[in-house]
Amino acid sequence: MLEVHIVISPVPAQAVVRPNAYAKGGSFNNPDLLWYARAVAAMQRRPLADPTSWRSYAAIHGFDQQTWAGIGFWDANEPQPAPAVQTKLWAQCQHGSWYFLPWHRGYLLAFEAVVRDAVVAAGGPADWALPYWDYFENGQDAIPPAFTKDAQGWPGPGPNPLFVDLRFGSDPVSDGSVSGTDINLSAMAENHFVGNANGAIPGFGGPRLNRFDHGTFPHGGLEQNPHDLVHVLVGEPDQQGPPGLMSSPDTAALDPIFWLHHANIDRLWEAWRRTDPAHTDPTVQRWLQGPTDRGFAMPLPGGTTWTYAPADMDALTALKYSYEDLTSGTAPPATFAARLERLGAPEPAAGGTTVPEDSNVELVGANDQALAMVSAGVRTTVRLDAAVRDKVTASLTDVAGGGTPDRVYLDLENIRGPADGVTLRVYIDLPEGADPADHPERLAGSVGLFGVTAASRRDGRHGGDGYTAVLEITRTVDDLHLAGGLPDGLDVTIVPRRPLPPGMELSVGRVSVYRQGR
Amino acid sequence: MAAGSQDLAQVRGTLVTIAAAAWLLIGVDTVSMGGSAGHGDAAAGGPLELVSLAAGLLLMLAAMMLPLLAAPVYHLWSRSLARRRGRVITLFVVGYFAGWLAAGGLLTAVAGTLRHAVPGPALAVVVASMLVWHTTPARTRCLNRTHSHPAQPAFGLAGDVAVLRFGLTHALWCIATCWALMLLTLVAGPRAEPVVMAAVAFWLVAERLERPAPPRWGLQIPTTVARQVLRGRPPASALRGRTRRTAS
Repeated sequence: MLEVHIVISPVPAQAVVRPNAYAKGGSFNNPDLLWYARAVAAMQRRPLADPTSWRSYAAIHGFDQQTWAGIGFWDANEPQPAPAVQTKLWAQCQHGSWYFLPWHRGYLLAFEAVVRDAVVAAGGPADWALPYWDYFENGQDAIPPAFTKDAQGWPGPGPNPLFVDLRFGSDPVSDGSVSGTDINLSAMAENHFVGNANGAIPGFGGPRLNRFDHGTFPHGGLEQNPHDLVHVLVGEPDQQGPPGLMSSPDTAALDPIFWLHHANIDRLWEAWRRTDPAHTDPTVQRWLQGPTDRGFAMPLPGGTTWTYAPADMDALTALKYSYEDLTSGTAPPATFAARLERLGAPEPAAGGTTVPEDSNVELVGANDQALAMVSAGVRTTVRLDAAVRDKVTASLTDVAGGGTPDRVYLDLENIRGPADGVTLRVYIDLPEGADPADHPERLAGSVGLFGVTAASRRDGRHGGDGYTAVLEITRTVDDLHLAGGLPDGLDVTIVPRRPLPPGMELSVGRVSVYRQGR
Repeated sequence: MAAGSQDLAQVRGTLVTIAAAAWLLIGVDTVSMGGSAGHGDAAAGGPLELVSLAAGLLLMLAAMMLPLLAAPVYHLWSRSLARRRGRVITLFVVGYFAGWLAAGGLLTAVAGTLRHAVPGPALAVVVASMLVWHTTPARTRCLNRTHSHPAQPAFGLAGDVAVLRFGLTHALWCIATCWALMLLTLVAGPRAEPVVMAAVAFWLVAERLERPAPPRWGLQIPTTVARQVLRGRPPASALRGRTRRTAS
């Protein structure tokens, strides 16, 4: 074997623009989707041993032999990539850390290069770019029609390569929208890219972590919502069906919609950077140079392997791609200035300054025991420590004197169970016996349990601690404060979006409240 | 640096400082008295010897085990009411060291018995036992459990009892993982003991840096530390030519 070092990267020869997938209604009349489908079909025909095959590229995101075999994507008798190749390339995705966004940007870039190569080989345009799915735009919250079972206009040969049976469980043509009830753009209001795994929102991009970690918790703001929720809502099973491919990191990239979802997440990162001068990526070497123990590596057309670090993912101009639109479906729902005004600040703040990055985070209270989830939902009381609750009250009161109010979070800690595809809705102070659907104003937020099954395995990479979610409940706490004061406890109701499959054991280790402020 | 990072650094710094002080005392003890930490002979002991044995074991455990506790201690620090942090961490450490002291006494007795019964091959017996244990899936399973950080009640007696139990449980998984290495330390003899202790402590830290892994037969070598050392800093820029092509 002769090793030859050459200069090559997935950066396109000419600058390209990633388009909205809903051009021409998101059907096969959209040439971007038609060429994508042709390239996907070509990759799906390649053998698994080819690192640029569809399945091998999906395995870069995540791979579990037993799971893949169970859904027909793995055959032990089929030639496999060499063990060294599997070790180097497979199961790399970075979740729950500040590497989530840069790792996925490089993954998309390399995938796009492989697809473009197949597009060109089939006679398509050399400037083809990956479309994005803007599910926050009006009328675009359903999967683009070209990806559905009933898609019209696929010229063949063979079945529509953009459709997979394992989407929406066993009912793949049901309402495919990712409900606006569950997903939101609150993360776009985060001022800091990086945070910590200590009870508060772990930043826009994720908590600080120095090593390569193929999945840990909690997830960063953008990752938890909308990223996780879109994964889980697209892969949500019904009563009979197994979870869809998108609901688990180990299978998600097998679904062709995965790549359009992540193009939108990547677009949201770029939009976040451009909305405020304070919105910057980390500048410390530990982020720029990537994990200390392992690099990121992607196969490219022609048998090359490209390695990269977060520093290389910093500027779209250097990467020679941009997005058709960076404003549509990217604006956060509320501003900090509006919050101050509600709390009676003398002069509304001009900018978006919230509590500073080095603020204290501390526990305010928690419920007293683990919860076993049932389809009808569970209710618990989070007891608040009087002294810490008074700190929160003081900070809210001080706003009138120019102080910075605390932010407050509700954590669902150590959620465990084989519950890929489950979305939990969390309500605060729901009237006893009320139907949650009648009280959307009490909804604190939703949690898509993306990766919970793997995180619940005692011998899995997360030690069995499960999924920990963080929901900001600052608005609810503000309302309680303005209505007369914070109570001794918060009644929290957790309801699965859909009934749990019979026999599913799903538990929440603790429900807790944290404050972040002085 | 964000507040959480400062807290984590503070927790790590405190534990490492205490461990370093313990190592210093062990070093002084070795130089001045020929070494006694943790390898007394319980069978020969009256109360004073037992106290001496416990003190030696505590010193040994502080030196070797405290750096391993950064993750669970930070977990408790960040997930407890601020006014209860000191109490919670103290109870965890008490539970943890109580478990280890009991196991350490037992291991010391076993080491003493081995040294008396088979003075020559004692070390070889322990090394063989260690190698066998380290190749079993059961050991990996125990090691995986040391990564578990369960949620704890936040208030009152229930919180106290739960965290004490967490400390004890954490110790039990730790003991199940490390008993053979600790036995090796105890049979090494006074002269070799500090060196073996240091080597074992390094191994334990390196092993704890690994993520949990599927249990399987075979010696599991921790590689994260080595990869960090070998990798150092990644080359400057991927886009300036770090692509490798393998051609036949």
